[in-house]
Amino acid sequence: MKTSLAMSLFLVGFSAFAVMNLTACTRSADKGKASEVGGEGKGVATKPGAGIKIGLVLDKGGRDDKSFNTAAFRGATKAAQELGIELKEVESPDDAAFEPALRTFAEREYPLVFAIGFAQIDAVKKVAPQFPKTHFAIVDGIVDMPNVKSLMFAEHEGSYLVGYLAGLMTKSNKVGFIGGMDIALIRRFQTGYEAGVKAANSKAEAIINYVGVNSSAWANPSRGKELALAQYGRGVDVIFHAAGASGIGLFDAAAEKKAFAIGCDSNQNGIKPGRVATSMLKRVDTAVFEAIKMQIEGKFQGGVQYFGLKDKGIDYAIDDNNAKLIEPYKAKLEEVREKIIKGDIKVPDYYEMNKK
Amino acid sequence: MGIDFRARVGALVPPILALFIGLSASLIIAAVVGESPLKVLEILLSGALGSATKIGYSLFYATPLLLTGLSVAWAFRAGLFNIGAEGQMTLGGVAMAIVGISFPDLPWIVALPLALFAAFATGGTWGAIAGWIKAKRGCHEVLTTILLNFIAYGLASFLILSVFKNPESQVPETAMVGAGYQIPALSGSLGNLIGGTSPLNLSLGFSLLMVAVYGFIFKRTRLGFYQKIAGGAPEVGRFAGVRIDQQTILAMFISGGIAGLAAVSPVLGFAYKTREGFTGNVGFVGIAVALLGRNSPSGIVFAALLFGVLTKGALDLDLDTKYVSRDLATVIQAFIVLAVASQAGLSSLWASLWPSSVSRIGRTAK
Repeated sequence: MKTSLAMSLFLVGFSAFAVMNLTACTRSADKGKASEVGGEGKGVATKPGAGIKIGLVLDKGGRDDKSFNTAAFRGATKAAQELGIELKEVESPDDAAFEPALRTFAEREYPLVFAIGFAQIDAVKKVAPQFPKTHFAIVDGIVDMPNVKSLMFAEHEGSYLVGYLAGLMTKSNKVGFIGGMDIALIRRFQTGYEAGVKAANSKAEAIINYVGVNSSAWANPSRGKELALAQYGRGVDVIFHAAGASGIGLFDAAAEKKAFAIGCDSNQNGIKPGRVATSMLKRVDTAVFEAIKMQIEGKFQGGVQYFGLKDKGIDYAIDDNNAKLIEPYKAKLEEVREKIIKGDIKVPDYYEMNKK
Repeated sequence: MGIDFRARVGALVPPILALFIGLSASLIIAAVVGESPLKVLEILLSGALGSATKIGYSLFYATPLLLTGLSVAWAFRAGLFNIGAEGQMTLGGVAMAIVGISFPDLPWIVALPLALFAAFATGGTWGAIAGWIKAKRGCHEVLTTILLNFIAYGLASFLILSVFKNPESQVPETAMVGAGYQIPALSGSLGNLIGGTSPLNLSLGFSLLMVAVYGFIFKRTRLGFYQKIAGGAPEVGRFAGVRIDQQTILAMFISGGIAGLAAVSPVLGFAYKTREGFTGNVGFVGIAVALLGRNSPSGIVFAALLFGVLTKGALDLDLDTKYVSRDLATVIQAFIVLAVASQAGLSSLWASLWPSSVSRIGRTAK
């Protein structure tokens, strides 16, 4: 009797699970349409990338995380529209799925396959040597092989710049930083930001919080909001986040407290217009687009490619939403940007600091 | 002999019917959203079985399912419903990593048994907690095993990130285990004949061996007999002097231990370290494996292989179809489980088609 009760409980649960997956299925219907973009361009012979297949293996956050993966997908979609390549993208449910996804693309003779995110380092290291004729490009991780291009970003430079802005803007001499998962990559944002704040305003103090220590820290907006409210409560008036989807909570808190926020990775100025001072841009989209272009032109090479302020791979966003807000500081920021590019300002790099 | 044979065939009918119903229902859904069912079926099959490497991947995905299915089946036999295989497996993997990091220099002949023992003991202890609460306090194991999953995730997270973390990686994972713990992939051996270039490894053999041991225990040993009594006729057992509460704790210990062993392929046979979330719901799919396999050794092997094939085949759906994704595999699994669970209805349906088999199906279904 008891077992049958348990059984029916389980059935109810499993049916709910099935229904969830049904909706997931229909959701992927529009996914298909998005991927079709390239196919339509195929007929136009003038497009240089016509018929070239590009594979994209996204990180666990998926295509719709509104920051990192979305940026990669945006770059690839742009290539599909403008260059006419055929794009196929795959999302990975878990770490074991990266390798077969990369391998499947390589087996089908896709000339270029993207691995988005440092979680795929191991998978690329395994698959790339088995397919020496296939080109791979990995974002945020270095894999030293002749057919692998590693796309790395100078997150610390951009963080310094927005830190400088925060230092100029603060009236309470207190600024905040909210990181997602506590890892070296995000520490790199943090140290750059802190250095920028200090350079602009030696009296300013930075309060640092992290959402968590595991991957769920990227997707916890309510915790992000809670941390932001706590920081504003302590007198902070500008907060920069590097917390993926958890950062969305920061903007809510900024609107509630009539304080300022700084966005990250993608242009987030429009989320709460007037409350977002600027967004630090990490142009994964540009990097992906450029790599595809190089592939089409036959210029693709392995090795590490760095993106920074110099080539606008790292930037800060100015649009209608923040133009007025940022106007008084713009000249100063441009000056700092030039100095970083020329090397007059040396931004501390967490990666370098921790090299043994 | 003839009757035995017909009974066996009869026993095969419900799961095969369930498979058929599950597959058809899912393909109808695929058709409704605009995908050709035949094409979907072809992609599923060629994606899973189209080459040695693809078969290797299917078997690689089936390997942990064999053990989680076995874990759930053992508990079922003893009248218990273990929904905690996911958490038990997580802790089993963490135990393997801890042993492999703490004693990295052991030769494989010592290292592997030690790691397996640690995983079994850890997963088993986790299961036994639920068994103990059930036996002594009467709290239903469905509740406690589910709740213990969450504690297991938290504990694993703490150990992976704060104590045994890989300092060179930004992924939430432990450091590498010693060389003696690493079960190499079969690829490369015999000219890639078996498993192609997939990470298929000898833990498949180990898992199949465990299934055989399970079959032997329940057929031939006193342990299996007592466990069955505890599950099937506890009043009779109590009357005959069997301590049912002890059997319950023991059943949950063994069930949890087997789930702990399920970490062997993903941890010691693939990543050589334990990542957060490495289980990927294998513990829950194990419930479906046990249900479809009806707790019999051959049934579990069949169901685990089937679900391995579905998992691998469905990966290609992302690439080759427009309107369905690999989530379809979960839909198929769900329909199969629903069909199995409504087997009473299926049996009568079958009986109306073939009346002479009715009594046999009824008997073997028990």
